[in-house]
Amino acid sequence: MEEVREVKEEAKEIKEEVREIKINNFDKIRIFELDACTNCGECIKWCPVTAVAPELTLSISPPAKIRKFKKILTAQYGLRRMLFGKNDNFFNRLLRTPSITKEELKKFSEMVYRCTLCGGCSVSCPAFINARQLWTALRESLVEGGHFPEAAKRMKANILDAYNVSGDENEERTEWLEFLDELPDHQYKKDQAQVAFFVGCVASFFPLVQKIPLAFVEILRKADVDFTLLGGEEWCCGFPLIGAGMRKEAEVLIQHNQEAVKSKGVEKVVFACPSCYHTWIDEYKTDIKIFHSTQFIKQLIDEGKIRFKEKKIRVTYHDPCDLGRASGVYEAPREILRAIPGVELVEMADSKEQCKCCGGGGNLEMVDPDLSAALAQAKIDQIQATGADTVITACQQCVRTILTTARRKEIPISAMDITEFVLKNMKG
Amino acid sequence: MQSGAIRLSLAVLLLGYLFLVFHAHAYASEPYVKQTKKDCVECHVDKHYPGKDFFKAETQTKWRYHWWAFSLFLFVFFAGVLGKVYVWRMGHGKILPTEEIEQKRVVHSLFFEALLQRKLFQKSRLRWFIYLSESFGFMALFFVFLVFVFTRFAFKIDFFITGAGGLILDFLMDLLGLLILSGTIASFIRRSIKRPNMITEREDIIAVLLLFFIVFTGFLLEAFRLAVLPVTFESYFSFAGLALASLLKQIPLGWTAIHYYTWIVHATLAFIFLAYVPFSKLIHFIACPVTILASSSDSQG
Repeated sequence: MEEVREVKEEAKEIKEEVREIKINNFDKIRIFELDACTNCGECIKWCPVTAVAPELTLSISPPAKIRKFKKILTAQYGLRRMLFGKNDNFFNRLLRTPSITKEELKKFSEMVYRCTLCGGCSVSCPAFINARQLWTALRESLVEGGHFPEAAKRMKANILDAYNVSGDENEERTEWLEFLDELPDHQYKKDQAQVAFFVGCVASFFPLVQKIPLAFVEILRKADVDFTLLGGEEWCCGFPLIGAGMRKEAEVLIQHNQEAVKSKGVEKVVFACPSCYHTWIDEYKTDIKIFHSTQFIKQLIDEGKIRFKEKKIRVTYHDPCDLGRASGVYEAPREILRAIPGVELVEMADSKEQCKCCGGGGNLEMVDPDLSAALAQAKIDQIQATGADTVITACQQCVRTILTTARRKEIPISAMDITEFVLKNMKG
Repeated sequence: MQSGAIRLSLAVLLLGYLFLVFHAHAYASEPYVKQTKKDCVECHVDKHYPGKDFFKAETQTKWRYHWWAFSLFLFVFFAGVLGKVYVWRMGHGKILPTEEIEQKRVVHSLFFEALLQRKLFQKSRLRWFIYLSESFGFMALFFVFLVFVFTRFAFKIDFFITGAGGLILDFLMDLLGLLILSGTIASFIRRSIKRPNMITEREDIIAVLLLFFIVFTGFLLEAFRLAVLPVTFESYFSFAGLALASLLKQIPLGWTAIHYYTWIVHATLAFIFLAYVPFSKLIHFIACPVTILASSSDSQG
């Protein structure tokens, strides 16, 4: 008797679990995209995750996720379910109405979060599926149903408690300024300025990449740009939460940052972080002009405010996913590199739209660090194949991911952000 | 749309299905068939039909089965579409942000991206050929088939029955049929070879096999019919069927009787294919043009 009750309770639990995966957060077109996938396999060729872990193709490749999700939807909203209800009744048994177990949902969630959200699959998709938005919507559904990784919970707690992804005191956001040779009295935290430099969490708190905001501040100073930092008033832009499927939680951050920037009376906001830049473009409703550091530097070069000395070097450029595929900025960084006399730019086997993710995107590192490192290794291999002396990118997360893996595996590779490279080769 | 509305719609569909089932005799009656298919005896040799003469056989079993099966599978098809619409409507926003799409871009996207699959052409010529032969070939054949049915049986346009139009249709159907066969064979081979960047599940194979056997049985039907007829100038327009028929002629079998049973198989496969569309990846015939159009809008593109 006890056993029967346990089985019934289990069945009830499963049934409730099944109802939890909702799709009312999806745009209608995203639901259409599930049916537009023909499983042709073009995207799998370009997926950086399946490239390094082909054994996972059946579980984590884009068509595998779509098929599994469609099975979940059929189990929840299929015709048989609609006609004969959620219960395990005679008709559902007779017609073998599919159902989903908790275990299956758990596994599915693990699949969905093992993705860098790089959007490479969209580039090759003949059905023009906007996979990045599809995966994000899918993560939102999983979050609403309570099926998301523990690491994402910790990340959410960090951001909502401390307003930054690392969980450090947010007032310490500009501690890296102490590494500047000269620091003005206002410490770049002015009440009013023309330009705001939105530093981003990773560059603010991870020592390995604090050279990036340091370099950019120096560039702005040398080019006589009237700029300010937001200091403790800068909160996480919301990108990690949105990527993890927690868009609603990001609202408060978006609201705060918009007001913080507005209070400075700025005309422009500049980002060295492509993810912050993309999030502002995509999610923030503001009239203020938004620039990535590469676009801003390019403008300064065109205005004659930045000039370069000659540097004989062979470099390759890695397109960050959020700057390239997500925001369409491919030329500004390349034009900067071409503007430096003596620099020879060699492209990687996969560049621009087809550039492979370094492994640092989509919170993958948080969920599966080994898989993220494998992606970084593949990226390093591609960089080394070019024979370049240095890889330049325009993203602190890419620099951090590539350098971390290179250091762990003792691979001698030079990687730097374009701001560092520009500062090194600036005249004056 | 609530599930109550779905149930109501299904009930209406069920009534439509029952109406067709109980009226099948009207569309399969001897006078009706004689009227609508009076020209068919020119190509079908009546005395070889199993047991009965052509019209009796057509009337009593074949067309009755046709309407019963067609109405059943049509019911399943519409029920499936209804289920799809229910799920599609669960999301929010518009499917296509119409105000953001320029007409030029719509035409451009539909022609180059949806119909000609330019992106696929740039990525892989083999994949593009498979698309062209399977999907495009099927759409074109289906269109030609509709012209064939409507001009012969509904509107009775002489140009398409005894005139040059009929010959053009015969030629096009053979040409497109061959294109589809080659595409399905290429697709089957592609999916049979295990590769890390390819997932092949049962539904992929079922879709390919259904398409292959519909076209293959179509060619058999044509060949069985031509095998018992003298070769005329018109026969050459059905070039693939005629080639097959010339081989079959060497074998002394009752091809018209075999034609009768093969027709049942061919029709059943076609109906299964129709019913399978909303429950399988074949639904991309509808969904793909929509996603391609959506991508041409400013917010997506």
